[in-house]
Amino acid sequence: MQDITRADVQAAISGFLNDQFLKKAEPDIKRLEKAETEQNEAAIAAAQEALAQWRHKYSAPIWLDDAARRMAGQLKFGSHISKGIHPDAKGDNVNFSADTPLPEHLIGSQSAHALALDANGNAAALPLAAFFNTPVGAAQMVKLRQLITQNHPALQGCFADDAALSDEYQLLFQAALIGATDAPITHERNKQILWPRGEQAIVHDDYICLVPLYPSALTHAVYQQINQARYSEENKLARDNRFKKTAEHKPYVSITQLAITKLGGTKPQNVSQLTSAQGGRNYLLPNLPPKLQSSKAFKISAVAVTIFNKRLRYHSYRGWIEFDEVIKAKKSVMAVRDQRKLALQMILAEVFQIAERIQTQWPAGWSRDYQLSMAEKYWLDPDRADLEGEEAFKAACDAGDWAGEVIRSFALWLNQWLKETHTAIAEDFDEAEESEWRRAMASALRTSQRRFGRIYA
Amino acid sequence: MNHANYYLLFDRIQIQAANAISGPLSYGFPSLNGFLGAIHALNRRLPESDGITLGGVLVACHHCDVQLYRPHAYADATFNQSRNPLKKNGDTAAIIEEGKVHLTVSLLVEVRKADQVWANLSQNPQASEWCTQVQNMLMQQRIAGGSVTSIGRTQLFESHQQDDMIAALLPAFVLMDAGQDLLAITRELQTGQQHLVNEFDEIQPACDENGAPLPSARPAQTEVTALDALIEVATLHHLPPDAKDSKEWRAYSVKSGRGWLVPLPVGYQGIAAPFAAGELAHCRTAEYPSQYVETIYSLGKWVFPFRLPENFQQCFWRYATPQDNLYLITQPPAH
Amino acid sequence: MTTLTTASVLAFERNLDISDATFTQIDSQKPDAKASMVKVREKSVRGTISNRLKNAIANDPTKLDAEIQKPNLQTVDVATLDDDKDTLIARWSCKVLPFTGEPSVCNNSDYQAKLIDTVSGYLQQHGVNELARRYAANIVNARWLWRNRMGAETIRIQVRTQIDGKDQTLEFADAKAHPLNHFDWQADGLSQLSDWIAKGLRGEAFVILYIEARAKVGYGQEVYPSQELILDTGNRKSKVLYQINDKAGMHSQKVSNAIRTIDTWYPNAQFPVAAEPYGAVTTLGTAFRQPKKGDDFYTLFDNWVLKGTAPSVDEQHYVISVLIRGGVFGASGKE
Repeated sequence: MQDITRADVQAAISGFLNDQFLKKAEPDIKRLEKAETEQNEAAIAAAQEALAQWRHKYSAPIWLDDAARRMAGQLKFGSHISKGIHPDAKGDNVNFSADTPLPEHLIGSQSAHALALDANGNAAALPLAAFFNTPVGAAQMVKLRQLITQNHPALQGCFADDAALSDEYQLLFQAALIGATDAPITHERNKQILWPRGEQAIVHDDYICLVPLYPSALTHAVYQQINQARYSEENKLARDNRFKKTAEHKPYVSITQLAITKLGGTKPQNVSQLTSAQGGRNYLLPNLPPKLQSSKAFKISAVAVTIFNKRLRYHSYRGWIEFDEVIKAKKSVMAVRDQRKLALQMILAEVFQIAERIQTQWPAGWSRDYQLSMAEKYWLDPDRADLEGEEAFKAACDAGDWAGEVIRSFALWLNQWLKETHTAIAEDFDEAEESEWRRAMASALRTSQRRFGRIYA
Repeated sequence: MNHANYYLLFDRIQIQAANAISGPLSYGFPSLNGFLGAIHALNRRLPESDGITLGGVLVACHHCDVQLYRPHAYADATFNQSRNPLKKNGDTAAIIEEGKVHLTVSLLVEVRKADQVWANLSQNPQASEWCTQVQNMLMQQRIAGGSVTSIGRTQLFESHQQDDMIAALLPAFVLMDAGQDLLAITRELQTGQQHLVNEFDEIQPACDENGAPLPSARPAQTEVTALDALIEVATLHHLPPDAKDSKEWRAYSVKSGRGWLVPLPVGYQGIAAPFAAGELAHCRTAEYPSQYVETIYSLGKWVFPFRLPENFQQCFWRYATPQDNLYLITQPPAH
Repeated sequence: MTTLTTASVLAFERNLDISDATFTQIDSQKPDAKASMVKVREKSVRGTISNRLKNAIANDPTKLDAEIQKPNLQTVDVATLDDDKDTLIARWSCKVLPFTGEPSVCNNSDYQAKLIDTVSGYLQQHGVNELARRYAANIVNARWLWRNRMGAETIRIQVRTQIDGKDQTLEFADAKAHPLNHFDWQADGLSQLSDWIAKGLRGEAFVILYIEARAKVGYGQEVYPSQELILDTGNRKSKVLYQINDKAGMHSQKVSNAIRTIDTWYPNAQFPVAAEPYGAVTTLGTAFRQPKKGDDFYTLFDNWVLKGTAPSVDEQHYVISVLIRGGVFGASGKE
């Protein structure tokens, strides 16, 4: 930042004003070109007149005076904005200086590669925010606003030919950027959380009211980063080429399962400048737990002798997919082992979710009409033991010898499937594997039975 | 609380329309503070004469049904909204987007009973009456912004009954801290080489069977931050067939082998100096100081109860004593 | 002495905490058979062009013909009973939470004291019986079934609760016999139900009501769950119905709105409207209580609490019913 010169700043300012002029004047420039080709004198004059007005408006003395005296007072700047929490929230914005690093395992505004400055207020004054965000210098790494807040010497005389006037503008800009904090004000619509300061908060009545603001500079960075990953020309081309036989195949990425929120509804410009630049859209990453396959639709066929069949396989397919991936993957031994455990647990979770539903939701005694093995009936229809005339059932159920058979059936079911679908490596699934499945099932069954207050040996 | 002598299980709490937007960067399961806050509020309502305080909270999710709409499997989802009451002139009010989720969770709470113990816990009438009482109290509260529509049962355990508590949680996934995995992923992106969290909770480079280092799907980028790692967790790499390995496209995720990782809001950091009590206008309280903050993220991991760490204490989330401008909800470190 | 002003932050929790309603079905000929769920399914419909067309098209017969012949294909959700089921069962629960006038958030203690004082004055003088009776009436007349009520031949209502540890049940044989446009009617059990609600509001017991309607609508007939408000359906589907775990259902706020449709105290009232700050009725696009006439909630409430000018008894009922509804009412949040 030290090597920025006065010429750099002046170039940046005139570049900004020229861009603004071109953006606004574009229709009139086109009109002029058209009039010239048509040699329509009246139209040429009208277009030139309009262009002269734009040129006047975006000339440095006029625009900068308006910016400093009017716009600066109509905008509130910040990296964190109140209206992002609720569009009606009229609390302070905060311009957070992200210079204290966070511990490495935490993520906050400091973790963004660059933070833009956001602003809200009168939408007509928003160009001032773009002005402050103008990059300065050859490397384009420094923003004008940084120079302003630091009173950088290169700014001298840049905002007006008259040195005193330039300083006056600079002060007005600076005041707007820093924002007034002598009368802090939040709003009913801002979320406000009473936060206990440690474990003894109740005893010591030790709380602080935390007022989270919306980190629009950070979410803007995330928004751009996700868009860049998804929609860059490179990524789009690689994705399209995947299904073309002749094209060169290159890696690409996808980011799925995102949700979108729209801040500010149809008027994102009321929320903030960055929000407006995103059309109000913000990406949210999913933090849901794994979804167990719905157990509701699970049925047992009247003639089935075991629930460990293809139908159950279908109902626990998420776990199977995991398993499939592990087996195909060639990775570190430890990772594979971990992944296999996770996959096994997914399958077990799905099996037990179904079992629990049958145990608790199906009417006691349902198993009388089914051909299931007795072992599985003891397991899945435990309340039948309490019905009249089921003393023998109860005795066998309580004895618990049936568990071994259920565990064996499970292990066999799992191993059989793996052998069928991975014939090339079928010999990998030997007894050692099967006994691992048995152990896991035994432990799951034991704990599940305890949950229902049932004990077995 | 390191001296919990009991654990209180709220089994299968059904919560309707809880807040599904857990922070500015994530959706799905509500933020931890929604659960800890509810238990803290419950603690405040317990009669002092009982001599009972509540401590850390284990959060287990059985069912999580986010109210959203996704036009097709690869599309981004939007949240189903509800209409607000009309404005005074009869016009439709603007829709302020919210995200809602219906949940079934179980919460296991550390309990410290200071005076005499409950003798013969499972048969103790005072203990079971206390359970009914706190269950009714929690029923009347909101959790994570949602309404409690039912609580399956409420049961006390003694601290040695760890297996029974784990059994009671099945089937569900328990939310655990995975800050170390975030570090390992950051390292992977920085070095272009896969990194693992080993069994001592340390980060080490990952190797194949022959001890050769395993490359990541991305080339090394030294400038990478934990935020890049967070986005990477949601990213799937599609890799074309390479001659030696396979003829098919492969998918690679930095998550694989690490369990079910998710972005996790773990608290807040101050973004401006705190205000003295009464200084901030329109603050909800003039009794306590206040501060502008932003949500702080880390990674979390959904773990099946069988895989919880041996040291059960580690599974409980607590309000940490604020320091370095950070207001965090943490689990005790592994070692 | 400084003049009292409304707290800038002021919020009330709702005191009737109502769940979603879920839809199941049975055959009235086999009343003891297990109910099965009502599912939502998709259907494609060929709509007709009925929207207002541009004049250029509407005034040109050939263009109009061409426009009308365009297939207006749409996918919509629909819910019907099975062909062998004729009775819709809708179930929901209602927690009745103690109402004392104490806000859940208030940042002005003088104001809060005056507020609680005002409300307790009302409670002492009038009690909650009038409001409780109206809420009860809206449960019993099945207003909350909305469109499902219209097509039903008969509707039985059952209300279960537990008072002092004892299960209690009330049955109402014919909900359709009770009018919707006023509350001057009686039914066996109505006063009992209203007592339960009053007990809950007074905080004498924690009351949860489990409500079930059995509406005989006919074999295979269409039923009407809530419609989801989806901001961007990707043009694929024009109507999405609400489902809870694959079961058709009604949003809690829709049921709630019916239960608090008790305001017959607005000027020239022809029918009750829901207790809302501006007496707004979404379906009519009208707000029946206008600030410029001074009979909206905020005007009445401020006069009552700040100036001590109590409105008429009827308007007091109205103001209290809005507090029971809950919401954010602070001076900075007012629209």
